[in-house]
Amino acid sequence: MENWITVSNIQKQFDGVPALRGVSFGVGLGECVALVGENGAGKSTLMKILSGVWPHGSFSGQILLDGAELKLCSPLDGRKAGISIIHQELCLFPQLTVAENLFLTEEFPYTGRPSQRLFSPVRWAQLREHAAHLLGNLGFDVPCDVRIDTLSVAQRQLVEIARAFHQNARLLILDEPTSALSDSEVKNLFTVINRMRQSGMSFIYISHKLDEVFTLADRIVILRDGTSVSELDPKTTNRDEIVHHMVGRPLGQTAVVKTADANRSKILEVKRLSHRSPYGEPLLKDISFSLSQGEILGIAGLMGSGRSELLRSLLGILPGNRSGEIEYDGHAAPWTDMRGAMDHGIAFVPEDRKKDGLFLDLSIRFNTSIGILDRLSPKMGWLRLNSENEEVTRLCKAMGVKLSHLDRAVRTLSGGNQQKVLLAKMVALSPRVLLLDEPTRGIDIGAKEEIYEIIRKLADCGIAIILVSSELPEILALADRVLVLREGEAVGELPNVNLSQEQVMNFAAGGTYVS
Amino acid sequence: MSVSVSSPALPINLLRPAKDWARFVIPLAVILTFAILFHLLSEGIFFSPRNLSNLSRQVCVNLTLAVGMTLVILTSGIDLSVGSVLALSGMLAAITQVHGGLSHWGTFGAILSFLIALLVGSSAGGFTGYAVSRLKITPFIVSLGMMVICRGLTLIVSSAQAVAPIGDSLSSVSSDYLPVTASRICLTIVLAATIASFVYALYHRKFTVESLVAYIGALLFLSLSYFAFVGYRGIPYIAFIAALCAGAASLVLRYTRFGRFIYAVGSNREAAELSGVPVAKTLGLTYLIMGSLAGLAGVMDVARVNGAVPSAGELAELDAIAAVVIGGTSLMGGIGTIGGTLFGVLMMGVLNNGMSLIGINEHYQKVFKGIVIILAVYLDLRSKKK
Repeated sequence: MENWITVSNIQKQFDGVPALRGVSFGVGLGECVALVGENGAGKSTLMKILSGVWPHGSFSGQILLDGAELKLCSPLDGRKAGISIIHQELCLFPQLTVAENLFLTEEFPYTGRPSQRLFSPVRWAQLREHAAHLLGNLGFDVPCDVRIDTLSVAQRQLVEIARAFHQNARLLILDEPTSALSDSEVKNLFTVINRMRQSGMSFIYISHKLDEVFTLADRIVILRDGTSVSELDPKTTNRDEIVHHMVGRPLGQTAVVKTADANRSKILEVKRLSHRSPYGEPLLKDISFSLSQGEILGIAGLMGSGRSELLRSLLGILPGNRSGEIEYDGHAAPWTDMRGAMDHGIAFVPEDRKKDGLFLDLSIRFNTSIGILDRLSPKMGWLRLNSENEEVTRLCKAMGVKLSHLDRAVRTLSGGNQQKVLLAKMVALSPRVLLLDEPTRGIDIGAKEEIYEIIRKLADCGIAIILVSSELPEILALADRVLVLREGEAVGELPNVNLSQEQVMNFAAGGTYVS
Repeated sequence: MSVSVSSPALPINLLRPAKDWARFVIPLAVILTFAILFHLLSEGIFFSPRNLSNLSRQVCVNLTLAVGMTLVILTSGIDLSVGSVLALSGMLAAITQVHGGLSHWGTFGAILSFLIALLVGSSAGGFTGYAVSRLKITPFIVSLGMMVICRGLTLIVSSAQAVAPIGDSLSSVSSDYLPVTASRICLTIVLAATIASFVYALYHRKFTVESLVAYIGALLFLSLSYFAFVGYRGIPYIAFIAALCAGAASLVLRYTRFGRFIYAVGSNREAAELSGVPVAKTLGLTYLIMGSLAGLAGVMDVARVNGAVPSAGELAELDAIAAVVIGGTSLMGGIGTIGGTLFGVLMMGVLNNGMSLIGINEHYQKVFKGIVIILAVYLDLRSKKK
């Protein structure tokens, strides 16, 4: 099939860290191309480029539409060119009705052209009529007079698709559309997609669920490390081949297999841990594992599998209801909040360092010592600046942060150094258990290796570490054991001996690997 | 009197990297330009010891409020109620003096009235703090409500009448002076300490261009204070108290756990929670302190005008916020110093005093002050971006 839209050799960097290193593929008219890849392979960056969020010029490479280069400067340009994206988090206005959402930025009387005029009369009757007509033509079973927040997720998705359709979209990008849908709703969505393809609409379908990809796609494009590594035909390929291509990079580091040390004492034991959100959705189901001194337990799983939630639930800082037992040194875990956990020697490095971890406008010194101020101010809360200075210097030296920078605002540091400051802050607590959530997200290779080295050293000192990561090579390089989560459940606990990425991925994506 | 501006050379440096020293030089140059202009236009009155001493008494209420407001804004909060809290606590102090008969009890009566004002202020602040930290209502809304409540209470307890005159002991807070000798000793000690710290920093090469400018500003400020207070009757008690508050707040921010917590909460609340910072306690205490300082400012105000009026302190919260913001404190929280706030207070004080001195109509003064506030923040923003 002839390609209607082609991307060729797209490359994009963030602060010097490459996110895309050369992606090329094409989509024909009425075709559905599935895009698969691990977390962090560059899917969302690519979609942002295609829809104009990252404007022309902020990346290298070309987008060709019907053979002519397409220069998108904003999402509005993308829409004009007929490219629409439907995000995982839907972009509708929940307090407005379906009809209002569909035609919010339309010219009325209806011309099909977008309008940004602030004052133009709304013709309600006409608006509703158009909306009903549009939804009816598409065969969507959605009432047009109700508020969006009364609809189910599946219905909302249909509203978004309808909006894209009437905005003359010719390429619709769906990002994990089925993550919140029931089986019958998924089937319904697929029917809709297939019908729209016949009318010439093209699709890029992003999903972790390989079953869906096989049902729907004409072609499968696989992204790995920001590169499009291969294009497969679903008729001739199979699941194993896809998984192999998704993870098939050579390991940067051969896994260090530690000899299991029976003498290491168990420090943390989790039994049948379940967690429900305040709205009653199950976040974690029946998870059990144990952790010994000096051990690194890797936690793998796809996005939304409950990795971060597990750490936060352990700390007692995840909203909702927890059930099950957590034993710490053989006794029920005594802490109920972050301060309590820290006082008992549990330290936590959160996933999003800028939002949850660091005080960006304040100095390295401030950031490093904030957790141990109790110790540094024994009398009436007056700080001993000399002790602080010694402590911060010692920690930063150990983490490899440049000492001349101690008074610099953390904002001015590179991602790698910021992460080191975050580690220093937690190591300052002299923890017994260290929970790391994505400790190397968005930092360059060199800094990654340094942080791996630090993590290994900490484990050698006897600190028990739980490492959550979406990057399998990272887990395989560091962990002694790997706990695989899928949809809040622990679906496998694998000793890291000759463990391959395919095996872990199979568990994580719901494959049938049997050990 | 300037503990607040001094010692940026100590190992903790919450200031910014050296490159934006212009942020310090320009404001200093601007305030000096204004002062000199006023001096020339007023035919030499502005820089007379007597006028500078008056100026110091005029800024005390605003300084006291602005010091508390700095803490609040550093936590990324706001307190709009301080003007009304000032009025209510001042009014109650005056009522106990006039109708409660405490004006006949001399110093003891004055202290009692003062404590009542402080109690009222801290109760109001404590309530705001509770609502903000535990009930998690936005500070803007809580303090807006508190502002209206306290103004209403002031009108109720005073029956919307002025209450005057208060006893001499209480009004002497504003009208009396620390004896000249004592003032001389005080100022000499502070001046010597600042110079010593400057030399220490010079010796250890621990400072940047910006801290050099801060030192120059501090020394200039101290010398002028010395010139004014020793030259004219000594330090006014009211100025002495306000300066103590500013100094104490500066020390708390720099050298205590609580101070660090304030910066942490304002800089990134989420991260503060995850770093084990007691966020709710920190917020509660901050608003409590703000309320107490508003109570203190209420007494100062009553002492200054020798009585209480129900409309006291109207828009005082905005003056305090303006001073804090001119001083470079970010309304988003986490960035700012008491030294900056002192500068902001002086800036507004110099403008008020100078413009009155050269006979600019009060209505025009307002317009001009507004322009200066916007310009100051705009310049600060621009130099930060560079």
